[in-house]
Amino acid sequence: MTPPEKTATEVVCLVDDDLAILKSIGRLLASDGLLVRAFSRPQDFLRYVHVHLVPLVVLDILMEGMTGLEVQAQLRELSPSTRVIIMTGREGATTRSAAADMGASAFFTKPFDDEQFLRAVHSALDEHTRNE
Amino acid sequence: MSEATNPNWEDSLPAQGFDLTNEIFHSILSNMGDAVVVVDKEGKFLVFNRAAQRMFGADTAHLTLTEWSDRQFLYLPDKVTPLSLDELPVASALRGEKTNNAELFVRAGDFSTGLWVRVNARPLSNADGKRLGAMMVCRDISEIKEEEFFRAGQSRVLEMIAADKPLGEVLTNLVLLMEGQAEGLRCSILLLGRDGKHVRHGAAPNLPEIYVRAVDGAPIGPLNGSCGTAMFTRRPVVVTDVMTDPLWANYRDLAQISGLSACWSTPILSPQGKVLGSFAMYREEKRGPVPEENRLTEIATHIAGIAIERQRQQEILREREARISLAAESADVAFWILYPEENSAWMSEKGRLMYGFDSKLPLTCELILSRIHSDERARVKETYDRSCALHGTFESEHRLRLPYGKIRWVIMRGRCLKDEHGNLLETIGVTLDVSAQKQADLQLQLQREEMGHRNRVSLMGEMTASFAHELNQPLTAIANNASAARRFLERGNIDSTLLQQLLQDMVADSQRAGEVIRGIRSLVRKEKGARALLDLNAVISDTIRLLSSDVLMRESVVTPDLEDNLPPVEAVPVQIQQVLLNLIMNSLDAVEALPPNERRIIVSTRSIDGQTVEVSVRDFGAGLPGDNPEKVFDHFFSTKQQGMGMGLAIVRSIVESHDGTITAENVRDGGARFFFRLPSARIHPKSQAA
Repeated sequence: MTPPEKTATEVVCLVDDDLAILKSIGRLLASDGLLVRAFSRPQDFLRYVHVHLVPLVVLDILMEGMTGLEVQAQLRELSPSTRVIIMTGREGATTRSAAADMGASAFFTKPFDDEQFLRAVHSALDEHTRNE
Repeated sequence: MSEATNPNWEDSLPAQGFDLTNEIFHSILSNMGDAVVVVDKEGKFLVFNRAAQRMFGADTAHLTLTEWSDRQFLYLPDKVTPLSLDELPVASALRGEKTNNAELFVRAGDFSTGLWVRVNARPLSNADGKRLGAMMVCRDISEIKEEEFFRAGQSRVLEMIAADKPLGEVLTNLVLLMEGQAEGLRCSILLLGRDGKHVRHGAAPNLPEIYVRAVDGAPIGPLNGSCGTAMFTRRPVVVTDVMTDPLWANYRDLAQISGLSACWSTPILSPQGKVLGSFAMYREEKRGPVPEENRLTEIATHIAGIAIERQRQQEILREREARISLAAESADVAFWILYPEENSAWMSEKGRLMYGFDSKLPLTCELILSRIHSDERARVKETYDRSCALHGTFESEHRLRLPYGKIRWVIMRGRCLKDEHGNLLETIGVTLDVSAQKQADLQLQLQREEMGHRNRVSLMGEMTASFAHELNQPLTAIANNASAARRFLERGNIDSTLLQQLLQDMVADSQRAGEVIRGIRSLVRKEKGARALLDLNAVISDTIRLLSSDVLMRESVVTPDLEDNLPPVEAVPVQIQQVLLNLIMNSLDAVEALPPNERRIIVSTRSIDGQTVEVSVRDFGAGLPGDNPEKVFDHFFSTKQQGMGMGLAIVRSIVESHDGTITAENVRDGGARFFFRLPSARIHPKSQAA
């Protein structure tokens, strides 16, 4: 099955089922001049990936219906080039290594340092550009 | 005309110079039963008729009064104090004094036992009033006296019975009284043992001990001596010769040693006709009873029946009393009786101790009432008055306040006794000291609260993921928003609307964090808080949300299935949340071993008839111990490695303290279901309209 052709807009996607987090991280990214597409339901994001080119997604781990790791696993099939940054409310070595195994670019435990986070976002985007 | 035939012959005596030669007069004196003695003023006997000679001895007719007095014939009624010369009725008659119906005792040579006489004496004077001598008439009243004494003896025995003297003493006195009524008579009383089959010694003061001992414990039967047979057949048994009678075959040796020849025994029956024992008469001569002896037997069996029956009743009473007092002594119970009419009261020793009354203090109803704690006195009095009037019984739990301020918790129970017109005669009752129990209850309640608190703290330990997540989310949002704002400001391109929204969100998020902290604090707070009207659906939704992170971490699903328009309940919010947290956490543990897609828990609510609200937590795990699912509510029951076994016990005590019930059961298509029911709150019209 061939994926549908994707448009070439470069936006950072954000998936978190907590609206407050979604809005605040969106603003943080926007304050750095990035375009943001926010999803509160992981399924909506996966549908979006089908038709759009996504260079980077920031994923929350604990979400209702589907965990961030499950989204990451599907993403590897759908869009292997999309870089992934994982966020979690709770530090856990297993989750961190599972995310790393699946090729996550960075792993953040909420709340996190804005500078570090933005640096990780940019480096992930650069990584994506280099690979394209 | 002879003097003796003259109706006024006494008047003519002086003129005749004591001419007693008249035949008729002589004949009367000789044949009359009363002793007649006439003396002249020198004390010389002029008349000493035949009856007098029988009474005092023929040889005494020729004595002078002084000599006669020296022989001591007449005694005072005590039978031992002889009358002195001056005291003799004839002597005092010579002095001009009359004696009327004096009862004296006579002891003379012929009469070893003596006899009783009624004595009349008067002076004899001529028409001029000159004293010529004196006359004394003595009538033998021994028979009347004996009968009188016999009756007095019976009265004495009956008095002993009434005074509850020991049965042995009473029966011995009765036997002695009977034996005193006839020469050579010996008697015995035997009792029928409690088993109704053996005889017991009663009284036999004049039978040899060897005989008494041999008879004690012997069986009754158709051929068992006079007494054993009489008790067995319930009929009198007369054996005139124990040496030949077959009834005595087994007792002949004993009879011989004891010198007994005849034995007549009569059963002693209770008023209801029950055999109580037997009364027997023994004689050394071979004969049957004479009518007088039959009369004695009748009296003896009647009195013995009363004595034995009474003693049996007393024994029953004493046993009952002993049982009651044993129960009272061992159970810390006070017995009391109130007599409202005369405002007096009685209380057992234990009761006086309990109420702090000195053992000699006279009690009144008021005094007892005054010991009741002043906060409760009026209520107790009212309950007492109302209950007594309505049902005739009364029960109250209250505090007593003793001197020096000591407080006791008691339960008072009473019953009113009324006369046929319904007037209250007395109230009898008991007071139980339940202070220790109350103390233990209070202690238990404290312990329960402590356990409840520990349970909440430990629940929080299990919910760290949720709390961390709940706090992290708003904190992260605040941090991000603040960073974004700083960056926008640095770049100088911030839109004021965006800034406003951003700041608003920061305020909202910090409030959200505050809520989480408040939630945590309410759970760890020691005091349980007050009851409030609660919408259980809302509490369940909050609780599920609170647990959401843990549920996610455990890769489980908690699904609410809540009925709309659920009536509110009146409950302590944090306690209901504690119940839900315990039940849901338990269910999460129960589904842990299942594959993630099967780790389901359903929390549902429903209203039953609008009166009761039911909350059910159902899992699809392995279920509860099959034999007795309710065991999970016991303290220290746990199927978990780390479990203390307190969670469900606390859950139950919380539900029950809200007048609810909780049940655990296995569901047919798998898993366990816990459901608790709480009474729905009665809403006041005002709040219903609101």
